[in-house]
Amino acid sequence: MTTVDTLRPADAETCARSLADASGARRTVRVRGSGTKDYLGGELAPTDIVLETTAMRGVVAHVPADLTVTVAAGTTLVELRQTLAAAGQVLALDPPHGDRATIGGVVAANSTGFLRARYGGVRDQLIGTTLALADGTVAHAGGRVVKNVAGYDLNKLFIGSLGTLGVIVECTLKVLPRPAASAGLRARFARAADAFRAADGVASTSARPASLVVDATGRGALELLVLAEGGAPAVRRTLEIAATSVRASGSASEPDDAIADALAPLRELPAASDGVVVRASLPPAAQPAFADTAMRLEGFARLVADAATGTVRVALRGDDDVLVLGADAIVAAARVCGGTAHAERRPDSLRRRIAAWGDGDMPGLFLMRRLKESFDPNGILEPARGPVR
Amino acid sequence: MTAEPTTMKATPIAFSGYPDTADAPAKELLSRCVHCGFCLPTCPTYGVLGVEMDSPRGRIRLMQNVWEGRIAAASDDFEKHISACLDCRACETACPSGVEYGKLVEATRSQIERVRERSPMAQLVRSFAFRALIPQPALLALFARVSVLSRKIGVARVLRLIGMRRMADLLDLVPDRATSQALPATFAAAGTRRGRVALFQGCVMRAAYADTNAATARVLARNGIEVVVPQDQTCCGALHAHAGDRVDARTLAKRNIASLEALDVDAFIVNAAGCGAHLKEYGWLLKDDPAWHERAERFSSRVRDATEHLAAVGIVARPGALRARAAYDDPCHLLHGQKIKDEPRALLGAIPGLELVPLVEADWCCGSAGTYNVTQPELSRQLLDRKVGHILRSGANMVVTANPGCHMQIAAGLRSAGSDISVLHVMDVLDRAYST
Amino acid sequence: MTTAIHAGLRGAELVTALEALLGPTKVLGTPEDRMLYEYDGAVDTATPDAVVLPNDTQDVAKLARFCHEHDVPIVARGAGTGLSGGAIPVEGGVVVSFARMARILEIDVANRRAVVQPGLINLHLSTAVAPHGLYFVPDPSSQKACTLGGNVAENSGGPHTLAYGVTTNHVTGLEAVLSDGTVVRLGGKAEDAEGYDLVGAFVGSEGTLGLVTEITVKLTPLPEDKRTIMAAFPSMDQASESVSSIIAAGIVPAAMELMDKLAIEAVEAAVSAGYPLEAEGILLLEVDGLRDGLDDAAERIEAICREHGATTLRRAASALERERLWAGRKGAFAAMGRLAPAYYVQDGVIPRTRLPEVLRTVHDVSVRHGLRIANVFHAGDGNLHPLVLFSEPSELESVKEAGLEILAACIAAGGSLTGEHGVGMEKNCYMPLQFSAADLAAMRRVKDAFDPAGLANPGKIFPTPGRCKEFQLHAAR
Repeated sequence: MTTVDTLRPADAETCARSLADASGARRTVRVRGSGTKDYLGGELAPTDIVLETTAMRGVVAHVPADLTVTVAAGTTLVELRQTLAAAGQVLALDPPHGDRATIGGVVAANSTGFLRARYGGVRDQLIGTTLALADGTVAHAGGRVVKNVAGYDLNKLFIGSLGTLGVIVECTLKVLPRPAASAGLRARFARAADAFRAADGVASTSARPASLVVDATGRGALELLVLAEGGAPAVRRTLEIAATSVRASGSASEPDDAIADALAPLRELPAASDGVVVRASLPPAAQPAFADTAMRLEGFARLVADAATGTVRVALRGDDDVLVLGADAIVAAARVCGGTAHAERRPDSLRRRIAAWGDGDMPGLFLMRRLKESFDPNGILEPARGPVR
Repeated sequence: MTAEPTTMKATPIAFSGYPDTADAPAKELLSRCVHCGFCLPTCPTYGVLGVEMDSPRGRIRLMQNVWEGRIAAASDDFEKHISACLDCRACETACPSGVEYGKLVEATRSQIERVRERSPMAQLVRSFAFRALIPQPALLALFARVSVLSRKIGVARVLRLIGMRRMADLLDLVPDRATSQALPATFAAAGTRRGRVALFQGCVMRAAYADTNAATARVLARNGIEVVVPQDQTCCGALHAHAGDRVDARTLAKRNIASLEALDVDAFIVNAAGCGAHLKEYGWLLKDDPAWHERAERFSSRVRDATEHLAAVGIVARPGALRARAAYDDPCHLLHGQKIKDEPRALLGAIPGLELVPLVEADWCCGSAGTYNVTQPELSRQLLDRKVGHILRSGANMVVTANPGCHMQIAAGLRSAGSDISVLHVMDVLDRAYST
Repeated sequence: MTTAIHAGLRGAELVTALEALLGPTKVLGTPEDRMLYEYDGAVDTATPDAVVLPNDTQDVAKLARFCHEHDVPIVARGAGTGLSGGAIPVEGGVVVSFARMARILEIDVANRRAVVQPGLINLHLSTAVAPHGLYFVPDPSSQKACTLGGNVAENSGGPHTLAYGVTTNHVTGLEAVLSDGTVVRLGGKAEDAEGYDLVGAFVGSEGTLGLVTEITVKLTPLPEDKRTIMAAFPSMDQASESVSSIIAAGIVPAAMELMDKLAIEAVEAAVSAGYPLEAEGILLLEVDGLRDGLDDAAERIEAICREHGATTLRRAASALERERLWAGRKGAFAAMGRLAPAYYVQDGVIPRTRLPEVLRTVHDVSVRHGLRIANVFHAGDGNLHPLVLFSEPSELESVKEAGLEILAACIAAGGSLTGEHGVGMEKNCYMPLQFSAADLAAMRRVKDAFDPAGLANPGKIFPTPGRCKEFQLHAAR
């Protein structure tokens, strides 16, 4: 085996040239930001080259009144947040690994947290990308304006593509003014049905809470956490609606102004190094049944649901067989509910046994294969990691 | 704002494919269409048939294609799609560019009439209906009474049995209470006289709904409006114009103008929306006739629908209570032809105890559309079924409208659906409220 | 290659074959009928060789397989309200009208989703789900007529998408027929699908990747209340600056629409919405959501407008008054008829903060060409809609020229060729103004993955050598 080259291109053109060279030489490439999410995707087979985006960093353009920011992909979320904070603004994304993750990594991993309830996920906030492609070209998709239908929306294809189609070297994102007020509440439930009904009582109004999270640590132990952001009167009213909904579901709520602190560890669920984490995306009304199923599994450790969007993570602990069977059962349950699921994290030793992309029959796989072949004809980019192998 | 209309007419109009360019659909009117498509969902025939040729935009394009010589005015296709139009003018309400579609389709029909050969039998029937029957109230009333009688003795069933379905359907339309008593020449205003109007009686109204004419006069009089009923009036000619018979339409218009224009009244009151819409367009109909144009414009400017006039002068006499759940169905030629929407509803709203229930697609044609139920029985039936379905689902026990064609059509539809929901004119309802 | 000119089955032979394949009631083939499918809401025309009206997905799949075998282009059509020629069969072939696939298949209240057929009219969906307290967010001005299939193809927006996003933010699942007849189901009722986001790639692809036959959309809870404000300014600069200041102050109104003097004049003549005639610019703003805090937000907006010199501020006190204020905006395009017999609407996007300077450029263009240009647009997201007024077809060249100059200014300001009307065949020649050869090549890879035969709506989005030669010569000059 040849030695692994680590490349840190400083700009898009160099990055693209490196890819072209690698492609020409049929040398495989791993794409990394700060390396917080190596656990994602299929197999992490060794590659000939590790291409790190960390030398492409810095805020490229930020006109506060446009509510957009253009940033090099290797910029960390922390750095971007500092820049925005100076202008009284925020990026309404709260992915895991927020302390180290790069913007490019967040986009390539379609990393989401709990703010998706109100502000949407990466696909709703990314409006432009610059891409370094395997043929050595640098391509732009989207732009720097918030509304744009010129040409195909390539941004969408690269979100969650884990570096398998090309390298994201620059992103333009929507940003928002820092909300004037925020407050929260929490309530405990014994049954998943009640917890999710209480959540739905908020989601089905025009209250638009910032986060609506159900945290289940075991059967009979569920908690609803609500974070409201915006103008003070709307925040107050949102929490009233939530409190009423909690009461109607047979529980009582208590205000918690430090709700953000309570949410932080839940967000980091996939960052935990042991066991398996399955990420499911469900039709919202399927969550209680799905949660019941998950909680009954041997090895169930925790379930954390962004109840507004039906993004549910389940953590399992136990021996290998428990993990393998449990992960399979959860993926199957998600499909039965009309949703999708994939293993987000599992021990390296189980990376092969627990497939990241299900059993390979996902809808449109043949189209994904053609896209992969079209963007990376020599198959050098993350060869075993993406949905297409 | 994804699709706002773009205007740009790049295709030059090559040569005329119409027999009479003066009376053909006017190029200026046609060129206002920017083919934005906003009319499509409002067009009942597009709703049923779903093809561009049976949409207002498509028909306008057909008219343009004739001008450009791309298709012949005499072609079957052209006739088929133009005659399938209800002339309900819902598209005019929807049109952001102000295309006057009614004028276009009537002009087009007049051209088709000139270039198309009709069978001698069809000619005869048309000529009988348009020249003899419709403008002769006494004859029309007799026809109506005979029809009622025939239906009562089961003629419709016999006709159906022997395969004369169209004839049977026609009989079904005639209302049960066809009456034609003559109205007094004047209805004196109750209380302080607030105005003076002349009642235009209309042929079908007079033959089939003379009660409604009397009710209209009584309601106006009750509200301080003196009503005169000129005896020397004739058919407004709307059905002729819709069918493309402009020669007769113009003759009738001139007769009405000549006999009515000198009356010392605030307005000519019409309670048949189809007549009203047409009377308001005499100016347009006679625009190329220098001797008549101005007189016609003046005449038209004095025409008012009964609901329009009453709502404008205001109700002064408080109606009595009526317990009813009423659904108001907009006559196309009131809503789209005269843009009168709120007035009838406001009048009904003034009746204590009367609950106005929402009616889905109240702004859609019921399929009556002048003579449409005779000329296009299939489409007419589909539209009627749709209308009746909405009425039945509305929970109303009374349907209110303001045009005899709609009145007959809806009543016939409800009857054949086995429903006992009553159909009334706005003025009938008010008259009843005043009698309680 | 997708630029190939297809030379397969055409004419009467094609019509006969399609009638045999699908039955005569689903095929229109006479010249009279075909001529009525040669236009949409835009300028360009081209006559299809046949029109097919499918009843279901199987019909579409059967048709696509046939067209693939016989090298026939296939072009989807909803209501034909598009403004970039998306439904025009520029290379001939079959136009597929979705008029008979217009049903709501499912309203799933619990999941806040609806499954609909592509021919469904946008507003009919919102009307149908309103009793459940829900609506479909994208509200293009054509929403009474345009179809969901068209919305997906064009990634439609509307005045109220500023706060809540455009079509792509509200579609979670699609069933589509590819140009070789393959039926694919992408996504579903869940927010995320597995693997690459193919739904995201499909939305806004203007029919060039395949034909959408079923759509799953998100439904949104209706706002509890609204506040609508009209602010009149003595200059467009002040109005535009207010837009940026409001956004910068942390308020994201549901809608923020701007009209210039020429537009105000026309609107007042046509619908008398109560706009002050002496104003140079009028801003129409709406905030919605929970009742609480709306007055607060409205007051802050008013204060900002006042700081920027607003001379009149009016807040609608009733639903009726709100409707009247909106009637002015909604009737604005139609009201242009008061000023000129014809107009050409452009659609470009700029960063909000560049509004003042780009509007000045628009003014310069107007003066230079001697053409009056009215501005009525979505100021909140910088989506300009300059309306170039004209009277004679002979002015067309200069009208188009003016439009192009405005687009060039938008792109120079860091903007885009189109914010919601699409590229279609109206702007495909202009694509190189915004995108490099490498950018376009990357898009081409997507096209080739979905439609390797190049039969799905050919001649759209990408510059075509034939039609764009003239533009290239022109640009070189």
